[in-house]
Amino acid sequence: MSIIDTWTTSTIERTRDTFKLKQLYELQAEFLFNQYEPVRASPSEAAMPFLQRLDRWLGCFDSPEDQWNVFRSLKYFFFIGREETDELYRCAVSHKLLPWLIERDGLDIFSCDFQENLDKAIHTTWPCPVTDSLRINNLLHRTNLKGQSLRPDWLSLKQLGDKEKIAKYKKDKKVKYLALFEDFVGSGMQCERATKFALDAFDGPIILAPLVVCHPGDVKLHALAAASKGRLTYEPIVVLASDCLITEIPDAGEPKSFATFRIALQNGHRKGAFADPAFGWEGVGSLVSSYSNCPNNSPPIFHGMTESWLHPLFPRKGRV
Amino acid sequence: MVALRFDNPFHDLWVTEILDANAYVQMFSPVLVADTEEMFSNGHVVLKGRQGSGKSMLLNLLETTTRVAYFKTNARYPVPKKQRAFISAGVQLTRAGASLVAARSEDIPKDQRSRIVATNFADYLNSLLCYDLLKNVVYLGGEQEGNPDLLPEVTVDLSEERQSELFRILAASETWPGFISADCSNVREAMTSLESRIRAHKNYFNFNLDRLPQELERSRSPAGEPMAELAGALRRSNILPPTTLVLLRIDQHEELFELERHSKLGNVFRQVINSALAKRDPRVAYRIGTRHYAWDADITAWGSGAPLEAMRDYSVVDLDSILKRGEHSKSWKFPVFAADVVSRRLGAAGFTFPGSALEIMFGRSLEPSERARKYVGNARCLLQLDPTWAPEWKAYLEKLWTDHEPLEAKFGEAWLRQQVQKRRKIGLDGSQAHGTPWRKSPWWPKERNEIALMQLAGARQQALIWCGERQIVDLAGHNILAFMTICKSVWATWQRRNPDDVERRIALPSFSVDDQVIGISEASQIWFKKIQVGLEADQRTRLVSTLGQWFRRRMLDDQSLSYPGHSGFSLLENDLMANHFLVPIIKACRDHGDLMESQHTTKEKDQAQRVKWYLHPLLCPIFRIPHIRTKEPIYTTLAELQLLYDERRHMGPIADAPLKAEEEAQLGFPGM
Amino acid sequence: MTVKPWGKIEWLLPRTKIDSWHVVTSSSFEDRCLALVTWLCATGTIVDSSTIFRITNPPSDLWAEALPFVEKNFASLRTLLHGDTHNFIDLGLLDQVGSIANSDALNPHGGQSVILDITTLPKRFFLFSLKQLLNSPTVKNLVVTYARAKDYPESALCEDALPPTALPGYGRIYESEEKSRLIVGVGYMPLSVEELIEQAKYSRLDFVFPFPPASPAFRRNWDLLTMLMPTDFPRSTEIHRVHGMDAFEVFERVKAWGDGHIIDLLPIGPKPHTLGMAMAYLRLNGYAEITYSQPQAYRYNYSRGIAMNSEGKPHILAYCLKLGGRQLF
Repeated sequence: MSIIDTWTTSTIERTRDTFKLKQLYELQAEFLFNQYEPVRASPSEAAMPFLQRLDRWLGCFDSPEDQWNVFRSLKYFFFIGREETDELYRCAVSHKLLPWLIERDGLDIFSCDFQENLDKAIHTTWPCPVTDSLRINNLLHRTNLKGQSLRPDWLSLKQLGDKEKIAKYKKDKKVKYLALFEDFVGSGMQCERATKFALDAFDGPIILAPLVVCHPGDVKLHALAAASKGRLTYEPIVVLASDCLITEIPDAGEPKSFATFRIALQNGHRKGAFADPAFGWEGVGSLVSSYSNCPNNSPPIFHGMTESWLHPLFPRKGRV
Repeated sequence: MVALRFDNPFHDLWVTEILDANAYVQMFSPVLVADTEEMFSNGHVVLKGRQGSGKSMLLNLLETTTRVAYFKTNARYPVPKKQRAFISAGVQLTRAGASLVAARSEDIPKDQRSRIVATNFADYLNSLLCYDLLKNVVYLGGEQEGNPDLLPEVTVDLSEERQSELFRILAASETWPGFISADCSNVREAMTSLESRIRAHKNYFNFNLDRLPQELERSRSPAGEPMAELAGALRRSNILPPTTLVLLRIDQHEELFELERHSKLGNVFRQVINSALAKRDPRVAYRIGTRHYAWDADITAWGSGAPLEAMRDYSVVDLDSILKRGEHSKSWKFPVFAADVVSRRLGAAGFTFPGSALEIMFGRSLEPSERARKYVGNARCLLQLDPTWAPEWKAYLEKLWTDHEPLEAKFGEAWLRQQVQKRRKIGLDGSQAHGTPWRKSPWWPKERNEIALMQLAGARQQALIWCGERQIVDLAGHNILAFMTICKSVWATWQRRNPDDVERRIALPSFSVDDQVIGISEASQIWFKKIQVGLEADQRTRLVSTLGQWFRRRMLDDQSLSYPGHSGFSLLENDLMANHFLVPIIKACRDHGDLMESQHTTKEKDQAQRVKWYLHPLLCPIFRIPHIRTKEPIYTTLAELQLLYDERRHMGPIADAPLKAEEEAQLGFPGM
Repeated sequence: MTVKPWGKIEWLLPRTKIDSWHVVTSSSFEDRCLALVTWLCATGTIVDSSTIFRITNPPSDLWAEALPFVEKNFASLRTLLHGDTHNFIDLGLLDQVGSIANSDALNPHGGQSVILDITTLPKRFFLFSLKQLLNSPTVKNLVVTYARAKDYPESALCEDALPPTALPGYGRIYESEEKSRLIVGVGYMPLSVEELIEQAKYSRLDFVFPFPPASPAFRRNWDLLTMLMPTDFPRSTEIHRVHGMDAFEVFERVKAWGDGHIIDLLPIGPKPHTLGMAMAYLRLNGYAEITYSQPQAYRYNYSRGIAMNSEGKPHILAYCLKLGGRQLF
């Protein structure tokens, strides 16, 4: 009998809870988890039903208590599927970028030439990704936002870019505004570096609209905006609450079940002997994955693979 | 995963999504038709049945589109040939927005309110049914043009001549002048005019008009009269053959009961319907589809105030009575019905099988002793032996246990306890520690099998085992929806646990005991979930949870197995007349099928009439109580039930889950 | 690429260039019923007149707990809105809306510019009022407002939902041969909608899922979706993610789905989504229907406090539906 099946014939409470969670995960599998690209890339993995992969992952943990605690804590895992991403793109543009342009250019939304003026403002905007993990072309296509011909990611530009060329491009294209988008911000270090470079290399107003931000990153980027004397507007779409993060030191607002989840996570980390820290890169502890990849800010028990941890739930595609 | 879901022949949509759109008719079982022949004959019929009783299937058989689908798929229409000369029209009250009829009642002066609302409702109903009747006639006529062999019993003739005759007759009738536009001269124009009339009502109900058009108000008629005149005219004009029965379906009649409860208009809506039935007009016959409570609660007719009389004004087809187990199990209809439904599904999925599909898939049920062994496994002896008993007795019972007869050991323990209660000293006399004295009466262990097994499983925190054809049928509680839910869940469990078998599948699978235990556990959760998101969810969930946990506690604590029947409760019949808040909740649970109700003979000397209730069998797995009823239920009072019910007052959103203080606060997002 | 006329109230309201308003609001056990009026007074916005709904729920233990909060908030509202031009309407939660919330009662002084605050106004009332005000030739300018709550406890927010029925003013007028498509706005409480959804699976069933925001709301929404989703839902079922506050986007999508089709709308999600569905209904010319299961009892603390936006101000959203006599959707 699979691990999950044994719970369905256990105590009344365990049976009931298992059934509810199983139904939830099956539904989420159909509408979310099955989109996970690194799994889809492997035919044998893709053919395996999610519940079976989940059961196999639970088998990596040694103790039945740990298995149960991670199973029930999976409901706090925030999976950003394609549809979530599309909506986040739309919100980034419609709810953040465009209102910001309206403010900047002093447009009257009720005037009959509003649309014409808005289009003009859009033409002077340069939408770019912060890193290459934000699929800028997808964002532009899904939102119908007109981009500029070049869409470099600014983290790469920081290493390879030429400030003079950037300035020239800005002038030639009559660009007034820079709009930076990022898909996921964990600790905020990468984003901060790229944005600081942007503040240095681009002399106009900048809006930074990351789609999903963890608390440490949020703090960092708020501070960066505050220090920019109004040049940088920071407008995240989603800031994750404490029940989407599991940190080494318990947070006051976290769910009580995280206490045992933490123990299971640490036990699993020891068993897997992962190179990454137990709570993910920079200890962020994000309980997040997107359909394209699981960030390394998430605990490696979810995405890491080692000799003693053969079946991650959301195997991560790392950079070479 | 999607493919897997749709690879389950018990998936509700499997038929329409995988097979042809008309193939659904092949899934209809004719088993109930023989017991419900009055549905296809003259006279009014009230068809009572809960959700999952097969009521929709039966009503569907009357529909013209269904009959055409049978023809197109070459499937045999199950209604006997001599009863096929009918055409039907209908209205589903929810779909028709009946709830909005009362929306403007408070605009009307109080002293005229009921009368005007009744009149408007009657006219609305008349319009809907007349429209649908004409629509069905046109539809059938159109289909018959391309298929002359279609429904030869009801040949429609919509020639110009016939239509002229129809309108000549209608123009001379009592109710049709003004009911449709005076310039209507054919059926399509009449339908357009009726659509406009229906729209006027809807616009008025929706506050798009300040009042109903005057010409509409002037041409309103009592309920049923325009339909009767139309039916007569269709036959007299020979658009329909003269012997064609016109059947008018009004489904979801319980919708009116709900509407009346909240609109403070008394019983006006149901009385309007009753007035149509009271006319006993031979030109039309009504088929009223309802759940039980809605029909019985008031049977006077609007206007006359005279009560309708069963058998005189209408006959009743009660699917619950037809399908539930009676005195003689051989005549029990439900297993035949269920087996037929299953065979049809599996046949359509391409399976062939010798004999009974249910037997092949589910096998035989386990004997009590087999189940007992499964529950205890290799556990050491879990009996609670009284220290005062003779060492020989204790050793004997323990030996029975270790000799793989845990059920006998359990019986022994309970039997000794009962001897103590009867002040017999057998337990102190070690020389009697042999044999199976508890089997001296064959009834004693038979009545106690289930409670004993429940205690053995409970001691090991195990789910109860249900498996085998017989138990699967029992668990369905004569409800075909419950039955299909079980089949679907067990099949899905088998698919999930045996992926290789699924791939290789040619023959019908045989589900293992584990497949069935897990699948039934899921089916039970699904059945309970329906209550949690259904009508009157909070109260029903709370009462069912209260009872389930109460029965379980009582039976687990009953170490001497003295009350094996305490998986149900009983109240005095008089208690049900009381103005106590629990009474309507008990009735709601009964009406929705959560509780199964029956009269019973009291064991008390007072001989007062009592009523007893048990949970629907498919709710028993979730609470881990037996579904088999034996001996006496718990004799209780409303006061006692209230104490138990009130204990559950501050449960969380799901009444069986305690409120978790840890998750009290969360950052905001929208509610109501 | 455009921007619809909605957003934070401090962003939107000044842009309408309207000087004074008639306010329709409600007093409730929830603190956020005071948010709009408090904001209006704090910013010096002129409120010429007002109509306050004071709603009484059916008797229950929950109502007995809630009543003191209703009275307290009502008193606060009357302190802020007093004078001859400020009136209130007493009514029961289950009363018929039509005779009570007509144009005259909602806007007795014939104000041209109306703010309809739907924060704590039960759906059947706010939807009916919306239709009356939109269709009123007197009302030239209409803004709908909604104040977000700080948080919600994780337990049953309400109880004893009535069976689902079409909302007055939002019933279907036209039928067609086509089977209807059910679109469910996902929220937190299942209400009594199981049979409706079960039936819908035989035609077409879709969900509008409020996203963003993310957790914890999305987690709770998925829980509800799991409860509502039939075990064998159709292959074509989609879950459409739409920002929880974006009424205009819901309007656009529902209108697109409903154009030329028969749709049923079940708004058990956030009020801005319900607003969007109502707007779509009004544009679908009688081919849609909005059905709802009215709860009979609410927890007095089912929402707590008022959310603050990123600038530390009460998070009140405003949607401009009519300006200068022209409907903006």
